Amino acid sequence: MSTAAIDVRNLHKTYALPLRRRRVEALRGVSLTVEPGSTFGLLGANGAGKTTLVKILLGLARADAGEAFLLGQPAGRFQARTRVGYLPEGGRFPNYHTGWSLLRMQGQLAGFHGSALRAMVEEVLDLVAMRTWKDVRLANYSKGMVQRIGLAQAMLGRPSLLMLDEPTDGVDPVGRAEMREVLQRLNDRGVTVFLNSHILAEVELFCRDVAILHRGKLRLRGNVAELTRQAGFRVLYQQAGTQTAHAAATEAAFPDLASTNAAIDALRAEGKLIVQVERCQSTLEQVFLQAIGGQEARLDA
Amino acid sequence: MPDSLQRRATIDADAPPERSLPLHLALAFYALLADTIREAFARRIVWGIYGSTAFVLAFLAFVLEIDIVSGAKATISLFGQEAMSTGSADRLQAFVGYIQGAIAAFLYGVSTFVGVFVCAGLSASLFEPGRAELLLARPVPRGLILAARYLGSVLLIAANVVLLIGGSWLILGAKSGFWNPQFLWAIPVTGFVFSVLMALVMLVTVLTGNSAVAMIVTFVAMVFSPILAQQDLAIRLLPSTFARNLWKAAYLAVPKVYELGALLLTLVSGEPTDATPLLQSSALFAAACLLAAWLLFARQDR
Repeated sequence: MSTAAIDVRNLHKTYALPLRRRRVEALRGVSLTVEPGSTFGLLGANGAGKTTLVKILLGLARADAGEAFLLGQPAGRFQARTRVGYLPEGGRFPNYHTGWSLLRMQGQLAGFHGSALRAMVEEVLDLVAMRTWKDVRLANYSKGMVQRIGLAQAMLGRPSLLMLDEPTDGVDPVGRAEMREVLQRLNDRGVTVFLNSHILAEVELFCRDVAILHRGKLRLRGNVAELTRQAGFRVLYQQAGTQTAHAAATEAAFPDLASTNAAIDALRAEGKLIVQVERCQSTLEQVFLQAIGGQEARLDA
Repeated sequence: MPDSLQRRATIDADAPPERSLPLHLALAFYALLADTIREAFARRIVWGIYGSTAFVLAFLAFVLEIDIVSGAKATISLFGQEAMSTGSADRLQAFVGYIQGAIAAFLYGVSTFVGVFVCAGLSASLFEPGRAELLLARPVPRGLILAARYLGSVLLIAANVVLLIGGSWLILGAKSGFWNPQFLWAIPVTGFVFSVLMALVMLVTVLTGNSAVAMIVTFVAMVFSPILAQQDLAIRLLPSTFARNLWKAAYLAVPKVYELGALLLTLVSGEPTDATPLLQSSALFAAACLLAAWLLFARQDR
């Protein structure tokens, strides 16, 4: 039995579009492992197969071939779902509910009742800072508030694994920071957080590991810090006597520490001023675009 | 796995306690049923249905007056004006029976029609993208979700039928002294017909995810029911054996709304009748629809 939080082996899924007489290969042999207790981001352009993968893991869709395990159980199994919290993308929460009644119902579906249920609902409302809005109908919530309630319902039942699809969609920057903090606290308690997001900066800030899907295939998987770290150093320098730093700075990159130091000595000998020296770093967006084949792939998606 | 991760993964002191499966399923079913009723009452049309029932009951209670003189002569007044004077208690009983028959027939037609209209929307909302996933990701069998939606819809309409039939029976009985228990047959018969039609609604909704299609299919079945019931005429008029067999097959396939309506009037009037084959075939139809809906829903990719 797999001990990983998520273990996917050679997963295939094809959707038939009968009216168009077409078949779409959503997943083409995807294999992936997510360690328990980690923060994991799944990236991909629209149609890359991210949502299909999540749906198979939760038992909402069936794989054509391959194996998928969630918390050691075959994906979709009843026992696995008792330990997973899920926030779907654009989740349509019934707006006739108040925040309280929605969480109460979701808590009952998770198998809680009585005082334990009440305590848990209050706990998650506090976690997402929505207690004062609990008796207001969802129809009167802002998009960000709906997302917070969505996150709260995912946290019900104290799941071991949180699968969040675009959790910060519509949430303002302050709210995003607060949500990140909440997720970090849960992760510190051992909860695995699986994030499916288009906001690469968000993933870069929160996730330790990422995987990039493109057209149903896994293109890249690794540690965010390692993927964004490049070999070499960047040096910014300018002519002596220039008043404003960075104003007329010139940039130069060097492959290693020795060549960087040699270059700095040479620049100083020439009378140049060193403004900044830093380790080369690329953004997750650059890594992502490179992995899926650059601009062309992005336009295709 | 790194030690730090292993340690964090095992710190799960807040993990939910083990619960028995039957208790878990019972709680989940209750939550889904309550959600169906809550959603229904968030729709104005449901308040309209119950408001109409309250109006009819208020009319019978406060506007219709029945005065019986020495158990022999009776007058029936509306808004304080004498509308009818009967020469005997028997005629009064016939009049009350007539009112009850009218209520039963009206309720049978209108309640099933409006019920399908309202509940088709209720069942389709379950399949809205983004909403279905929320329920299906929970540890709840799909069949339970479908069953709660179906039962919630049936309960919603059945409660209104009980309120209207039971209420009018009590009011008319108290005012006239004529307690016609046959009138109460309207409750199970109307409830039964609605549950049969709702099974068809569920099947079409699972197949298409569209409330409009579910309504159209069900209304077509209701409209064709009296036509298909004319078997004797069809057998005489249809030219070939194939056409006659086709007619019979269609008759068997469609829920027998028309005959059940006729059965209701027979029962309310107190005449003896054998309804077993009619009820059996309609129940079989409903069971087949629900089974097919469940099998399809259980295998569907969402």
